[in-house]
Formats: sequence, C-alpha cells, structure tokens
Amino acid sequence: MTSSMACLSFAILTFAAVLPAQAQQATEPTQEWSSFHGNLSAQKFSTATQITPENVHQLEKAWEVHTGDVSDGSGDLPPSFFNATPLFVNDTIYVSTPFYRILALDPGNGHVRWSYDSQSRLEALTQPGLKTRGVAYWEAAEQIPGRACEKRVYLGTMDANLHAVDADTGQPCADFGNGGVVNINQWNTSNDVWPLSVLQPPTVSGDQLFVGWAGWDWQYSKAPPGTVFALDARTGELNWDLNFLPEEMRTKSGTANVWTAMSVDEERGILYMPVSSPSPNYWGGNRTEPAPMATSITAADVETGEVLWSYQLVAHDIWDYDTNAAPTLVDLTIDGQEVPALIQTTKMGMLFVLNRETGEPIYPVEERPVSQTGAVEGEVLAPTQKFSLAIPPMNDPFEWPGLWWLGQATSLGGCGRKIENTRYKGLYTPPTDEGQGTLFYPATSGGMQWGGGAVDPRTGLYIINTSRVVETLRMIPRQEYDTLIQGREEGSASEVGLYPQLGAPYGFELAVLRNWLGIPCWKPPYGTIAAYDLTTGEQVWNVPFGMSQYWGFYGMRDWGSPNIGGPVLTASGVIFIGASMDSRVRALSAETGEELWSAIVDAPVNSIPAVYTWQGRQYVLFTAGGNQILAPRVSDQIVAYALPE
Amino acid sequence: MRRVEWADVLLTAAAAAGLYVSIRNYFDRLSGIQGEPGTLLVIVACGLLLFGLAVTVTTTSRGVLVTFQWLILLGAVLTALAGWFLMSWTLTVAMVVATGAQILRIALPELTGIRRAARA
Repeated sequence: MTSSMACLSFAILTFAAVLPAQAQQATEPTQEWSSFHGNLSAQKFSTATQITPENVHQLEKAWEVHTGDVSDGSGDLPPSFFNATPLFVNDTIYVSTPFYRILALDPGNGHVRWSYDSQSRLEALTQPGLKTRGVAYWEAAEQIPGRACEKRVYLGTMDANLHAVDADTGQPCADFGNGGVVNINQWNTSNDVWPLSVLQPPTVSGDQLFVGWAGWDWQYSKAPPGTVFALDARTGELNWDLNFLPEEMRTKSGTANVWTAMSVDEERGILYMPVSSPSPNYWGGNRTEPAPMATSITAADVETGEVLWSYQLVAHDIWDYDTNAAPTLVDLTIDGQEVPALIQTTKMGMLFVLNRETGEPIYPVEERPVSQTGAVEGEVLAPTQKFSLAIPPMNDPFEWPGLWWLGQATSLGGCGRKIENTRYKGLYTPPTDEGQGTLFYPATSGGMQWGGGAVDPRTGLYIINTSRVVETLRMIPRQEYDTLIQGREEGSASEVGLYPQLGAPYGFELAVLRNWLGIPCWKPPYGTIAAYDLTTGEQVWNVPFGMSQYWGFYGMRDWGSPNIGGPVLTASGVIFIGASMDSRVRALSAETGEELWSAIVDAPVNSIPAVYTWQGRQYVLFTAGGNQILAPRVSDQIVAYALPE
Repeated sequence: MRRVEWADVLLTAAAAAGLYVSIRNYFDRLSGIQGEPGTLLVIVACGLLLFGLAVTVTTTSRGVLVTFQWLILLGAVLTALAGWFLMSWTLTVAMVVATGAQILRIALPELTGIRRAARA
C-alpha cells in the first residue's frame, strides 16, 4: 500500500467512525428535565442515549457557573445548603440559589439570561442553614401570544413565601397572590412557632401547585400541624388543603407534614404525598391516639384533595422515620400482569411496593411484634410494625452492623465502652433514658434519604442508594436537660447534639457513633447503591458507593460513603449520581454498579442531577452545594458535563 | 561549608516537592482536599522534614543527629501514608523517594557529609 492510499484509507475510516456520532448528535431530540424528578412519576429517568457506558469515560466539563450565593456560616449569614435540582424546560435552565434568587441560564454555556431576587430574609428560621431544593415550572395549556406569565417559574422561601415569575423575563406575575407572591404562612394558624418554610419546589400538575412545607425539627413539642396546599397556578388562590393529623391532635402535637417532593399519576388524577412523623419526633406521650396518616404515603384526588387511601409505614413513630422521598410510580409486569405500582423508599432501609390505585402491597408486608421495653415514662408503643422483607432491605432491620476493629483499636476500646450500656433490639427499639440510651440503626440520617430512587420504566430496574449510619439516642428528663444546657447560648446546644423538644418531658442527645478520631465505631460499608428487578423483587446488585472522607483523608473504596442525594438513570444504562461525602460526581453502570467515570466538584452534591439534551448534545447537570451534614464544605457551583463536541 | 552529597539533595528535593504539591492541593478546589485539615497536616509535615534535614546537616551533636535522622524517616513514612489516604499520589511518590533517601542517609552515611562532619 502506498502512503497516499494509506492516508486515504485512514481518512475514510476516521470519517466512518466519526459520522455516526455526528449523525446521532444532529438527530438527538431535545429532552427536558421539567420537574424536580424529571417527570411527575418521580422516575428520575432520562430517555437520552448519547452518553453510554462505553463512552461515558470521555465526559468533560461543558460549562460551569458560580452563582455567588454561598456562605460557610463564618460571617453574618448562616451557611448555605445549595441542594437544588435545576430544571431544563422552555429552552432554559432554571435554578434557585440558597439566597432565594432564581437564575435562568443558557443551556449550552450557562450564561445568565436573567435573575430574580425574592428579597427573602436570609435567616435560618427553621433550618440550620439557608436551604433550597429548586424551582417549579408551569405553562398554560393554551397560551396567548404576547401575554406575560403564560409560562412561570415558582420559588419557595424559608420565610414562607411562594414567588411566581415570568419564565421568559423573570418579572413577577402580578396576578399571582399579592404582586407575584403568596404568603403560605397565612394558613399557619395552629401552634405558629415557626414559619411554614417552602424549601421543596411545589409539585405542578395541570393548573395546580401542590405545596408542602418544612419546619424546625426537634425543637418543639407543639408545632404547626402538617398540611398540603393546592393552589391555583395562575392566581395563587387556595383550591383545597389537606391536614394529616386528626383534629383532636393538632393543637397538642404538630407536623406530620410533607417537606419533600410529591408525585402525581396524571392519568388517574392522583397525588401521592410522603407524610412525615408528628412532633415531638422522639417522644409520643402527647399523641397516643391513632394518627393513621402520620409517617405514611397518602393518595388524594388532585382536584378535590379527598383522601383515596393512606398507607402508614410506621405506627406511632418515635424515631423520626419521616417518609422522606416522593414515591416512584411505574407500571410493572408481574407474573404476566401489568400492575400500576408505587415504590416508596424509607429511612428504615426497606422498600414498599404498593398498588398505586388501592394502596395494597404488591409484595408481601409482614406485621411483626417489636420491642416493648425500655420506653420512657408516658410513652405508649405500637405493639407491631410493618416489615417489607420480600424485597431484600438495604439496611438489615434485625442487626446493626456491629463493632469495627479499626474504630475499637484506635480508641483503645472506646467504641465498645460507648455502647456498653445502650439498648438495641433491632429496628424500632424504643428511645430510652436508661444507661447510655438506644443504639439507633438505621439512624435518622438514613437508610434511604430524600433523593429517592430511579427506575427504568421499560424494564422495572430500580436504582437506590442508602446510608448505613449508626447513632446513639438518649432521652434526657427535662430537669437534667435544663442543667446540661445551662450557660449555653440559645441554639448552641445542638452543636453538641442536644435537642430540647420544648414542651415535652424529655429533651434528647443524638450522636453519630464515632471514636475520638472521628472514625466510625461500626463496620463498613457506610453507604451502598443497589439495583432491584421490580418485576421479581430480586436485588440484582448491591455495591459500596462513594468514598468516606474525614479531614481530607479518604476511606477505602469498600467502605463506601454515607450519602444524601438521588440517582438519575438513562435509557442507555448509565446512572448519574453525586450524593457522597467525597465531593465527587459519578457515572455507574446500571448493569453492574461498576464506576465508569467520576469528577471532583467543589462540595458534596446533595441533590438530584438533571439530564437534558439540547441542540443535539446531552448534558448532565449537577449542583455542588453541600449541606454540612456529610462534610463541612459548601459551594455555589453548577456544573454541566457532556461528551466532547 | 559542609559537602552536600546526593542523598541529601534527593531528600531536600522530595520534601520540597511534597511541600509544593500540598500547598497547591490546599488551594486548588479541584484537588478534592482543598482547605482540609489533613492537607494542612502534610504541609506542616513536609516543612518539618526540611527543618529536620537542616538540623541534621548543621548539628554537631551526635544525639541530636541520630534522633533527627530517625524522626525524618518516621515523618517521611507517615507523610507517604497520609498522602495515600489523601489520594495525593504525587505527594505519596515524593515521600516514598524521601523515605528511600533517608534510609540511604542512615544506612550509608558515606553518601552524605553529615556523619563524617558529626564525627569530625
């Protein structure tokens, strides 16, 4: 072969190799991420196929934005927890910042098109820091050209306001509430000890906004009772509201609210609400009556708010096992029959798969007796709890992970001494004031967190990450508690793990079970990610996820990492996820869980990524904001990755 | 002026490289260990290695010399280990080189001017 022929052959081969990718880029349709979970079914599934397990290692940073809205808490402002999932819709990226601004960005380069400042109070009114989880988008089914606010972006704030702005200009929508703002706190009429913070973007379906709210955990015994509001998307007027506590309980307890995302079956017209536990979180002596919708998944008619069914996950919850993620809706083919299913993750590490029309379990759930000893005075325990064991739990409900030799060795047996006088009788061991308290596993921080899971609706493959964190929980009689916090500045007791539950006869101390070096006392892994075949209930794989990091030092890969933030699954079989404490974003194989790609970002990504395709190019978008729970690191970074152009 | 032999030079270069890399990591937001206490720790450790080296080439006390020779070895090994757990591979390599150089300085004193100077 002559050199010119060789050159020609090389050129043809190169052209042939490049052509399919270019052709694919040109034909790849626009794929939106128009709501918090990508769709109202909370599937976190993208049909994009440009990025595959084979080429994902080529991902590179396409663009990056720093919003400027960041605080590490060392100055006048509380720390910022930038946990927003950006939306891509209306050919624009919309994202909120923890200073309660909306940014509209160019999807190709991240340039700011407009910004809106809500002028919200930058105070930690209900949370330890300034937190946001994103914005919501609505557009009129029939739009009048030239009329403002036919497309809207909604932003909730910690001071309980809901703002609506024009999606094209960022100008407030004057016809919404009072000049573009609805004060959600106008409905805070019982136990108004803090504002109804709207940190989770509303769920938008049809012409309605479904709004839940977040409060101040562990502070008060009596708190605002949990409500979800259905508002008119144009006017902000209240269509209906739903309260989850029985009327007689509302003044003496509170919460049982929906602070996380919701999902909607648009075809059936059903709203699914993950309801949290009542207040106070770790003592139930003031709420001994049945509260069947507390710590439940509750389904209601989207038009009327009428409750269609409610499935309680934890009876008389005294562990703060809030239902913390929107249920995923998917149709499954089981034994040849198509079933409308709902998958609910839990802090307990168990998955509940229900028929979403009836609320009946698809996979068996057992009602088992639970420990009845050691509870504090005035407590009335539920004799049994629900155990979903047909689908292998991510966290063992019967055994905590056990003492770890490294934690023990580096503390000269200190870990063992810490648990010597603790009580542990499996999941649902009652909080106690005896000895050193209760060994608490899975702890409040999970199990599965508010990121929830992702599903491929074509196959029923379900991806879910979980943390394996052990804590000690000690109930402290009021008098002893008051002595313990004497001389401390107001609010500073939480820095040493003390929480008041004001109005209850007990405060409590909650601490992660670590030794003096910060090394966990329990055996790794500390976080895993798994895949389930929901058509059979089998676990397909389960691998350690992420890397733990403390003082900068990384743990071994097999140890995994506690994690907060959800996965996204693509049609090509790639999982994208941040969530770990090591400030990395990752792509994993949906087939095996193997890590295919990773990149370092500014802070842990405690949010759900967004995947979108624009002008033929697929992007994966992360907000690396941190939340100071996993690591003392915060940022204002938004970063998009894509294949090389 | 003492003769500076190549094992001393190697140790100096390795410790300086470790110091440079760690300072860069401390300020680089893409290092994965930016602003971390562990990164600060290895910066101090590399600085102490250089300080120890300076002591060993200047001291005339045999006790001080021997003590610092072993402290440098221990410091280099622990810093290499720290580099490993910080996933700072350049630091780890630098500290492995520093460890090798220090072993040579202890085992083969003729490679350095230190012991001869100390004995003199």
